[in-house]
Amino acid sequence: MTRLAVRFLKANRQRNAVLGVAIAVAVFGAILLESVGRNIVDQLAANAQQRYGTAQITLPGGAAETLPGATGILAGGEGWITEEQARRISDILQIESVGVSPRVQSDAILVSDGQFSTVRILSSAGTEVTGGGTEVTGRTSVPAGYQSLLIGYAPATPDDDTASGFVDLGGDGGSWVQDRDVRDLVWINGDELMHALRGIGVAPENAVGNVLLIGPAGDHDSPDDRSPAVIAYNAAEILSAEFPEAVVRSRQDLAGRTLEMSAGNVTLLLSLVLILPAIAAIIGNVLVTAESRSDELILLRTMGFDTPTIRALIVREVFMVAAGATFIALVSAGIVAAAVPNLAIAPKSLVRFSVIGGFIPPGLSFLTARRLLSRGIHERLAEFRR
Amino acid sequence: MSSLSSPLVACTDVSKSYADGDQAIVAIGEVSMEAHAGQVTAVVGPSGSGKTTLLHLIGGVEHADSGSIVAAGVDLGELSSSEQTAFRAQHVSFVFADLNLLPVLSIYENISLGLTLLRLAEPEAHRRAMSALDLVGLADRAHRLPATLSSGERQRVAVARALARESTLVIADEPTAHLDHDLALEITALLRRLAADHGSCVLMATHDRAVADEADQVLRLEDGRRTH
Repeated sequence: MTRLAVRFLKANRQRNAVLGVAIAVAVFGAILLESVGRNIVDQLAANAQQRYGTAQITLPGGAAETLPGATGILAGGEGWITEEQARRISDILQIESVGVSPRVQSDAILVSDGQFSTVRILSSAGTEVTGGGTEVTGRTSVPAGYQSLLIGYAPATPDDDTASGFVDLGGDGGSWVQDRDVRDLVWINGDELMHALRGIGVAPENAVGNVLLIGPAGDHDSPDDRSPAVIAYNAAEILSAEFPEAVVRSRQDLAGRTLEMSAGNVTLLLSLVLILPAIAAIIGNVLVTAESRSDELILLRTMGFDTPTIRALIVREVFMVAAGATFIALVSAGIVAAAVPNLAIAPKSLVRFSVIGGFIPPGLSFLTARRLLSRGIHERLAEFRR
Repeated sequence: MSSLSSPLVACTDVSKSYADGDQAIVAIGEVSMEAHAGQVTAVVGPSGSGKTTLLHLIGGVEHADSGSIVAAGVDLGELSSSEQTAFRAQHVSFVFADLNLLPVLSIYENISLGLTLLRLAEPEAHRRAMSALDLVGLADRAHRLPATLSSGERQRVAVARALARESTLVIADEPTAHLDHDLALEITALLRRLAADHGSCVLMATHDRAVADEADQVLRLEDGRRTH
């Protein structure tokens, strides 16, 4: 039957050529688009790395998670990093020339003109509010009653439910500023926030924050050949002996993952939109191919070929076209990748789209053939006679 | 070669209806007939008289609603769909007015394709195919595509396929429909030879009186019922 499939392949060469081109374009386009998309994501991640040039340390109970869906309400008790812990960590990490800066990080609700929105807060060091990398500084001047920042907190002691609530940093409260680029990030004055938290008993007197930002010691604007991810990794290694409960993450890694998730979806959408015509061509061609061959199918059936054999014949032909076209697409993509600088194609992408290109069209032909073969021979012969 | 005492095909009170909306259209109504190996039986009648339906029932293309059909010793009413397929592969060759050959295969390959179902050794399949083509006078065009042949030559290839398969039962549905008088008689003669030389039972639907006159037996249908 393979020989027969090859004969069909040759005899229907024009139709199969169209199908092959459509498959090759789809696979080639998908591979390249995903590669380009990945480059975009990498670029975004690199930007994030520049922007968030620090790593962070949290201790159990701290509100450090910044990924979507995380609950970052300020925790009391063990969640706080004390002055002594911060100093010890700082001393330990000096060996790596890493500076340590205590901060508060949490989720909050921003009330503005009667509208509520959830935001993340990150305290700035000292008395000035500075956005990480932004130039926005100073106290925001907002009329009382129009804008308020509510920072949720958990009880200072585990059994004290009544103590949970919100710290209202309204008109008379602290200073904050929304990040210029990341709209759901609010920078807040660290001293004022800690003062407010101590005042209502959420944070102990000796607490300095619930996260420690770590980065190259000294001038933070100077370039450092160590990425924060490397610093975080080294710091985690060093701290694990002294503080086994400590969690060290690079913040740009967290931000990068968030960006990657959103940018990855955009890339996928882009790929689908751009290769949609090719996919439509494939589907249309496979359907037309199978439909137009109903005469052949009915003849084979009357001769006594069973339906699995006939189905396999059609699928085999489409598979040969799909496999050839996918191979050409892979080679073409390889050539383009070699010719274009900084266009790296992930092996996973090659495998994924090879499988899609090589098996989806035959799968479609299988379904179409099954539908065609499900009809009775007599009816098909009667149609033919008409 | 024929054995008139034991018919190769025996139909008893065979009926078949088709649904047309809420109505049931009777295609065949209580038809009984017999056909013997080594003979050509012509089924004649006007369009819509049930000729094709009767041949499809005997050829194992579909089941009768009632009555019994025994062909080549097989009770067709008892067969499942896959068993019907196997029955066709083993015993039946079809010759249609048009739909006979796969256009992408040479005439030799068209005949060989029919032989693959019999699982013959390659040399034997080749011998049978070439012998059949020789008998119908097309051995020198074995490797040509059907599109390069005339209508009559294509019908001869279809008969050659039945010859090569040495089918017990040959169902010919209007095999001369698109041929002129001389060619029609030529194809009929080939079918007669198929029956005489190979002992096949040939059932041939036709509306051509001259063709029917060449048959050993004539069965007349009108409105799905046997009149003669």
